[in-house]
Amino acid sequence: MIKLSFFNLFRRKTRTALALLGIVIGVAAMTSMVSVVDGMYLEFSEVISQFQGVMVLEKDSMDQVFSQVDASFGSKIESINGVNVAVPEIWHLPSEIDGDSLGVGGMMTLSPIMVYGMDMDKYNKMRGGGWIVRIDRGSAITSNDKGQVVLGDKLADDYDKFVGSTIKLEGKKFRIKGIFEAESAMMEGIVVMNLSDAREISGFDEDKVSSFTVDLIDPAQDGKIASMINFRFGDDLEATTSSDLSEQFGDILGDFRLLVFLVAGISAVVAGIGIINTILMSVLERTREIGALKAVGWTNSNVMRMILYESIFIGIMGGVIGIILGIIVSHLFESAVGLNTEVTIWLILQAFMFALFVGLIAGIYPAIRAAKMNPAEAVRGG
Amino acid sequence: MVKTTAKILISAKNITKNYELGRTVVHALRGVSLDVEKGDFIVIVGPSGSGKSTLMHILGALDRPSDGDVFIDGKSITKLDEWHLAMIRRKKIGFIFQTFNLIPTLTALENVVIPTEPVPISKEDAVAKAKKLLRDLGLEERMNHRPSELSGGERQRVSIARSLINDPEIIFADEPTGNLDSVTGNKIVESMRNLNKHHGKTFVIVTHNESLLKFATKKVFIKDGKIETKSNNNVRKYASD
Repeated sequence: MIKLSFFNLFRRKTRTALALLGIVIGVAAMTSMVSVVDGMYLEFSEVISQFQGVMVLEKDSMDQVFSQVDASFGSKIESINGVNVAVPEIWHLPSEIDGDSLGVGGMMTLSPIMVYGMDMDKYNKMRGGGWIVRIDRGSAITSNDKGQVVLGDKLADDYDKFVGSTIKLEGKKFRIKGIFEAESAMMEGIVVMNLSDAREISGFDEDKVSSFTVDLIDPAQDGKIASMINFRFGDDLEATTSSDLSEQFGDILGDFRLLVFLVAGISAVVAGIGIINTILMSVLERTREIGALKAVGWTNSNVMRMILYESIFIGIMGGVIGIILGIIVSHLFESAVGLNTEVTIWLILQAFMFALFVGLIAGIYPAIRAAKMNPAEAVRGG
Repeated sequence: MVKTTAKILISAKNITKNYELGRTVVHALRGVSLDVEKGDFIVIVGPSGSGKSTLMHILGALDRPSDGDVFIDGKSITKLDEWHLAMIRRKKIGFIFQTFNLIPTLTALENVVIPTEPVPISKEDAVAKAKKLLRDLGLEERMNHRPSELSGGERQRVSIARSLINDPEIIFADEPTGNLDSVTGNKIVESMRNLNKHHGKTFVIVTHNESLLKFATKKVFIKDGKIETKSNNNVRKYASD
């Protein structure tokens, strides 16, 4: 029966191919889009895993770039038991590099170009390590290296920068002292400099900073210390741990993943209608054969099974081709657009089950139609 | 005269069948009674629209009468559900159609095996049986050909083999020679007669082709949904043809 169902699909190759195309597109879109979302999540998790501690921003600010707090909170935070050091930072989105305007588009990519100014003395006291892990070329800057910067490797490559060359940010020239190897796309476009330099180009007031990275004596106490900061300075500040951040980002991406599934779901409904149409046409064309099968003793459920196998085959074939295509598109996203993508076994399984489900559901109506055919009418051709 | 000594396989009692076509009711059968006995080779003759195919479908458990009763092996089948009717067809009845109704994607051999798909017998046994049937019907060389590669006569012999695969007691044939030339048609009916004589298979053939009457052990003439004459031996010219 399985062989019969399989061969039935090849009677009208073009029609089957069109039905297949619908599901292939749906599954491929789902696989590639979810792989991008999963890639983003993995990317973010990698960044977060480099940072253990507490991040302190202005209360209710969305991001470091939009945050502004009094610099005096630094010493207040450091007075809390268990805090090793609170590194003051200024984050700034430059409007131009070497005289070229960046516009707002720069912010919308996964590796935005950003100025990251910090108190180098305090940064070097951190026990948990900072954001910048490995200097690839040249060397790191110290608090004495005014007017000098360290760049992320992608930014350096994009602007043909090397150790010893200069970069002009907001009209001010900086000498490049080092280039670091970014662990993730989010750090590739960062320009690290001293806090005072960042203050100068960003226009931050003397007594203001964007945020603090708080390094702890015992990283396991991060939740407790974040609560303490929020308790004491909650009117002005908001402290978040890396696991909080990870969770928040995970929630956002989880919603986004769901959205992708919903979009894919809509395409699946369209694909499903295509399958219903294909199988139904094929059932109506085969009325005499179905009548003959019933005449020789096939029951309604035998006939139903034969038709369901056909639609399930479309689901399986569409699923396999769609997954392969989705993986290819996902690789293209990675190589051509530079997005980090992640195709997991779990995603492949989900996409396959989805295709199988669409095939099965789409086959039900034609299968019932075939099963309910009156055998006497069917042998005469309906 | 109806034989009384042979076992009655199917008995139809005062069958009527009405179809609704929009607001019109078509009376396809108007009180037909007929017994099919073991070993019969019945030829039912009638013009188009006389109700002969409808009668065959009801006798063969493919359809239900509007009124009257049909007994197979003494049991009424009129009120049985679809599943039980399918089981009766599977175990007791074979069908041969004018248009063969073979599955074009399958070979001759696979077409013969297809009725056994839902039957709990081994695939090997079913294939061996199908091969034997095709061999007996002279199709040994054509087993692996698809219907499109076979002549009309060969296709009809494949459909005869298919009707026999589940070893039914009775085989119904609806215009089995309708799509064949007269020489091929005669050979096909001779094959059936052979199965009737030497293997004890009961045949009910429905046709408008009177030349098949010469093979019949029992002749039934049907017109306007009623049986006009039943006879056992004498061949009668059908008046209206």
